[in-house]
Amino acid sequence: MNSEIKHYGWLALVAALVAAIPLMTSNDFYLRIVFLIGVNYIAASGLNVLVNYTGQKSLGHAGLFAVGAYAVALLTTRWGWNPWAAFAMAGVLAGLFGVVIALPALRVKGPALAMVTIGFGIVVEKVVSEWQDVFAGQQGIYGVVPLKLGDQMFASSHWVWFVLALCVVLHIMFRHLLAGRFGRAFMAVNTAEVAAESVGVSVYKFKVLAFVISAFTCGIAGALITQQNQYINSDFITFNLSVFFLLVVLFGGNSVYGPLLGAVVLTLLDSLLSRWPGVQHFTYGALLLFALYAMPNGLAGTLRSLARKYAPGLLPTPQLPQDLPAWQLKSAAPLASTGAEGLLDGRGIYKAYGGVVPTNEVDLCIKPGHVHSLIGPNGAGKTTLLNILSGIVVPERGTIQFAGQSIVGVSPNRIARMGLGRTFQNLRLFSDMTVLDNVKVGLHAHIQAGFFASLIGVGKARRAELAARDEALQILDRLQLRDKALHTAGSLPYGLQRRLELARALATHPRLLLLDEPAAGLNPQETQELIQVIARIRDLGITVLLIEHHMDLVMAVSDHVIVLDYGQKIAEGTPQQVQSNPRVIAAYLGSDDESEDEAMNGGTHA
Amino acid sequence: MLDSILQAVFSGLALGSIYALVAVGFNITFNTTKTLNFGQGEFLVAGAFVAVSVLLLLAGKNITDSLVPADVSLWRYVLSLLGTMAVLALLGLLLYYAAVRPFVGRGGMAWVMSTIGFGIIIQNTALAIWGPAPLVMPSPLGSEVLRIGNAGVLPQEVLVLVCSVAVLLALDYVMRHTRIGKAVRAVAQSGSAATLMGINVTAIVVLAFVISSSLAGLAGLLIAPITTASVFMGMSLALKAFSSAILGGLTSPRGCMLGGFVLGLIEALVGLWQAEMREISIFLLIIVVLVVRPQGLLGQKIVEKV
Amino acid sequence: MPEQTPLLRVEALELHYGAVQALKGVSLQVHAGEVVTIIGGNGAGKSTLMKAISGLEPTAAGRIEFLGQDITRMPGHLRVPFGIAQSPEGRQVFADQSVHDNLLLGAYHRKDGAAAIAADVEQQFNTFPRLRERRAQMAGTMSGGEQQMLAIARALMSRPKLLLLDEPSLGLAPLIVKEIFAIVRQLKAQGVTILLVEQMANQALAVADRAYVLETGHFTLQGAAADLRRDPKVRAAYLGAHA
Repeated sequence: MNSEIKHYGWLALVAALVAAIPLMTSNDFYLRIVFLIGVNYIAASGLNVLVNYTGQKSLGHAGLFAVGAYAVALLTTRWGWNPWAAFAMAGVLAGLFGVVIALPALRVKGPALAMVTIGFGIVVEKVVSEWQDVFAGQQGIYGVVPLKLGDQMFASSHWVWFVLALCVVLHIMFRHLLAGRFGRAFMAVNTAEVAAESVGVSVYKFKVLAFVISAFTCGIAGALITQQNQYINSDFITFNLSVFFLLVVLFGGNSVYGPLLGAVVLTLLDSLLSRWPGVQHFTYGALLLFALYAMPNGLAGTLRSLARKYAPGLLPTPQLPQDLPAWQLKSAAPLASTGAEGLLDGRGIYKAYGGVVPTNEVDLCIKPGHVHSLIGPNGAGKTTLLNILSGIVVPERGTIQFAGQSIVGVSPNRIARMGLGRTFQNLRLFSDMTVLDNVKVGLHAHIQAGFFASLIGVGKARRAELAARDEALQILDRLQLRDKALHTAGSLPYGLQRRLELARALATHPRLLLLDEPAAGLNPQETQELIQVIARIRDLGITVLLIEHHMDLVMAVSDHVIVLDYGQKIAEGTPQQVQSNPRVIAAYLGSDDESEDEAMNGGTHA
Repeated sequence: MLDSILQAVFSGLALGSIYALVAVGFNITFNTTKTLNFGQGEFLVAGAFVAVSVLLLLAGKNITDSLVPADVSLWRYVLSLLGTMAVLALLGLLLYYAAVRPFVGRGGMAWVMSTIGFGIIIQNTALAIWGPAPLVMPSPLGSEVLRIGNAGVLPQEVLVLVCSVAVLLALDYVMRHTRIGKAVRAVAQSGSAATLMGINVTAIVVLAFVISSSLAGLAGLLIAPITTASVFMGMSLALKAFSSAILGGLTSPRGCMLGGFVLGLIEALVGLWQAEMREISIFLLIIVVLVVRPQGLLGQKIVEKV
Repeated sequence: MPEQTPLLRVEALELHYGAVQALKGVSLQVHAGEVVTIIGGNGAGKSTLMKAISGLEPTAAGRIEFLGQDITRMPGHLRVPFGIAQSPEGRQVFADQSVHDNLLLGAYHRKDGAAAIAADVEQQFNTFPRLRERRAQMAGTMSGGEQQMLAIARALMSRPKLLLLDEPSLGLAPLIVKEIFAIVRQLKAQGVTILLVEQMANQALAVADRAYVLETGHFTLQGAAADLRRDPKVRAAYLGAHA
């Protein structure tokens, strides 16, 4: 609570100082600079979510600025709308266009995504400069009706206060949004998409949402500029503007305060250099390179690192509650069907890649409450099967029923929310987030806080956040990671990172937990601890299916073992039965002629 | 009517061959490093300006003066070509070490922005040296319109087409039949397997960037006489070249070439029908391609391993 | 037996992948003319060791000596002309190029002229007649077994002093695995020095002179291959101790 009060205190102070500027000077030039800082902040605040938090680098946001600008121009000049209504509508329209740009952009990855956003920006630029009838190109639209108080149009000072108010509101909303489950989800999508899906975060929805948020704020920025100038023309809409916005965000850095830092520095730089446009743009290019080399986390990130080194007292450290009760798995909703059928029932699962068939007509029955192991030599198809069960890979044939529902073709995040959790062979932690936050992402689907509630951040959303924090701590406590709660996930030693992934998977309240080589890279002591942990997980009522090569672990912890080789199930049974099965032995060690003949004759033993 | 179509086809092919050159440049660096130069347009512009400057110097003038047709003999044009490609090769080297190498493999697409930043620096340096006025480069073959049937065709357009096709064929041959070409393809397939063959992957990658930049410079030099070349024309051209690569398949060299010609044709023919729709139609086409067949006409789908 | 300088000597090698220590102080030797095998379960670190010897992965501590020279810091592509060639895990043939071109790439670093290289290509086709049939075929369209043969032939094209084979049996049907091991025997008879990494312990031990067993980054057993074949500890390393 203390840090909250501190924050609002500082906010009020800064706001008061800025509000005082129009009272101290009536120099239009300075007032305009303050106005521009505010506008750039507004545009950057949303773009920050898209670029820094969600990791989608867009180079076409001048197009969304244009939507807001021309919306407000056309609505007030052609259709006589009330300027306030037009202003609101500009934001909404820009948000809709955010969906338009998101749809193709998200179909592609990497450089193609950058290209699609550039293309979008250029198309908008061409449309507004060449479709003269509607947009009046370079000539522009005059007489845009600005915001008014009653009949009086906003003066420079009014614009400063209005923009200031908007900035304060947006700051507060983003601060709440990004500190809560949405912020974590955005970052999860950025760091490890597959892992985000596995805990129930819909990657697609969050990317679209990030686009819409950034479009909305850029649109509002466009509307503000247009209404303040009472004029807009196509010269405003250029690729350089998109680069400028991106630069503000990248330079400012990965934090709620990034847009503020970026907006202040770059707006001042911009107006300082405005007399020499060549130097201006040159500087942006150089700054972009500089920021990428020297400040990959932007100014905010650099300041944070410096503070951590030299003045750690300045950084807020959250107070975490002690003495929480031991974690109990909340009972999941009753299963649609019970009885002799398994928790998960797969029949005839088949998947081929070109000439390779990693999964060849596999039948699988996972009984609730047991620990099952899936073993087989390298290349047998175990991870493919796990990926099929968790929805990452869609099988070509076969049925899979989980908790009474078919999951073939269902998206991974939905399967996760149905109660199927997993860990990964190659660790996929959200390595830049804290240990506690990693587990909180696991709780994502169970935190009752919608989008608008999260923006406001009080009441229900706040209570849900605190409950999530407590539960996350309880889970960490169970796995003896409590004292590392505020450490960065990537800084943990390897064995603890594996345990953290397990904690995150547990946080999804799974009925069935899939573990992909949980003992990989662990030393013998850690492996022993893992055996204990798996037993404890079973005692919590969670069914486990694990892939492992570590035979001692498999034999010690499993109730049931399934053996795959060349994509087919070749044996199953208790650990002892499987261990002495000659087909299994042959599969692992390879045969010399004697044991091969034995196996071919059905493995007869004396 | 037929004549204007014929004319459009020819101009489209000429322009398309330029897109093909730049697109193949994208392909070479993308295949070997999974990166490409987003500032390639500025390299194209730089190529045009360096070429003009060389010609001016050969004519005994200042680099900020203007060229007249008498200054541009075929022999001098060839010299300016060599000069341009040398300068651009150096720029490519600089680009690799300054804007690509520090960011490769880091993930997060930082190289997209660093190459854009590098391009902006190039653009504004060019602006500072040569100013914003459009470039005048007379064609070494004069400006008398040739008649093919009833269609009018500029000799420079013929030169562009012939040169580009020659270069593209040469590249195709080198990639498929020479030792170094096979090494480049090996690096594109797997850097570690290539190392196991004794191939110096870094040297090959640098070569890729040098070639890619030289191609952009060549494209700029070829196109300067037939478009209004200014410091600002780069981005639009680069985007169309990139669109060509997307259309034909970024990972396939022949696809990039094909994509370039197809795009040039489409652009010219749409332009014939409705001039304003030219550029918009291209970008819409690309969006359709990305949605329907993201790997392009000749490209291969990349299966990601989980 | 007189003590000769080993062709390859690895001493106390350590290697990290991020937070994991994949090799925890590994030491081994290979003498000219020997076939040495390293066996172990999955995740033991076998391929990591091969990558380290070929210079594909940087090491954290320890030494690699070849022909008496310290090559620990030598860049990977320079180790090939120095005499080390590898058929890597998963074969990694150049799928978009023909069999013939793959072989030519194996000889990339050689400076002894096209005629000598062509002669070697013919020799490889004699050893692997299946490849001669498919000389113009795109390597990516061949079966796993054929690709494995190509990978071995390609490595031999560089006239190596030491041939590294990384899990040649991976993903191949049992009959094909038999064929591959027959080829390894043939190469051994021709005097090629081989370091073979394998999961298929029985067959590897049948063809090797000496063996090391790798478990989670360090050697737990070593000795003559014939001895290890009879050792129940080897089975335990794979399938766990019997109840």
